[in-house]
Amino acid sequence: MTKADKGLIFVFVVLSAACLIYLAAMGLMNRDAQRYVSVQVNGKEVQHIPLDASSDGKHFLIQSEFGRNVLSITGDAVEMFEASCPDQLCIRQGRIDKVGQMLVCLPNRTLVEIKGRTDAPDSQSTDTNIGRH
Amino acid sequence: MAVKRMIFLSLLTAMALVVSLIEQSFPLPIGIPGAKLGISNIIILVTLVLYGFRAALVVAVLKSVLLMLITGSITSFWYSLVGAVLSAVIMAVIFRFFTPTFSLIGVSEFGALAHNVGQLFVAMIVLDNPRIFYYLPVLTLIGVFSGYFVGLSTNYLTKHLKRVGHLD
Repeated sequence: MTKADKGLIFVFVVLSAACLIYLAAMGLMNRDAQRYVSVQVNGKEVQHIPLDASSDGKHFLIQSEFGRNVLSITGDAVEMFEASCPDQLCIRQGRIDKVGQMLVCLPNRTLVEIKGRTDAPDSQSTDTNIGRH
Repeated sequence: MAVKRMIFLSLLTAMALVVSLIEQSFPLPIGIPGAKLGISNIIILVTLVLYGFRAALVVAVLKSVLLMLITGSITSFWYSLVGAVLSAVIMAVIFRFFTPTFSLIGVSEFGALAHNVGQLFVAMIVLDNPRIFYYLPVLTLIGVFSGYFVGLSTNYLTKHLKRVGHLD
């Protein structure tokens, strides 16, 4: 291992740690803002779910030509409840509750993202709340 | 000795394939699906050191195609292909021009970074959302560790393979 190697590793670690801290700080700053869950399939926002008492304890169905996912919201946390994909990695990603965090299901081209009100609203947003089930 | 070279390259491809398959049973708990540690970079880096850039590229592409045939997953094929090809290109450039400065560990660190960037790039295209790059810092941190071990392993492997001395 040469000096340059050590320097390179040091730079990589410091830079990524700095980015992580910055991202975490951004998430904390947006914590009190009005938040919503943006569900995107194939790059288009298909659902826009406010993250408040109205969505607490409910499940949301994401059905598209690429597959089927069910999203579960409890309190202010979001998690993938069910997925039709073979690898089930989106379920393993666990619960997310900070602005900017994402759940990704690549086989179904589905992306679930928590956003703050400060973000520019997407043009398309249709609410397809399927209620409790 | 074209036949010998071909046989050695196919052996390396087979090894890369096996390593990828084993690696696939350990998906990263965080981040994007299909993101890998990039341990199969060991084989690609060995190929690069022993046979040069073109052979490494061939092994990288063959590995991805065969992995798709085995697993049947098109999504991970693009991940695997772009990640492997990008890291092979970057590692070749670093190895060719900066090799006394960086050891094989440095080369594989760059390879790991390229691997991650390639995977996130595919995810960005598939999901049409550039914010997927938020995962880059986490992946880079993991890549620093896996890159270190890839470099270390390649060091030992190439040392012994060169001693065998029947590579051409």
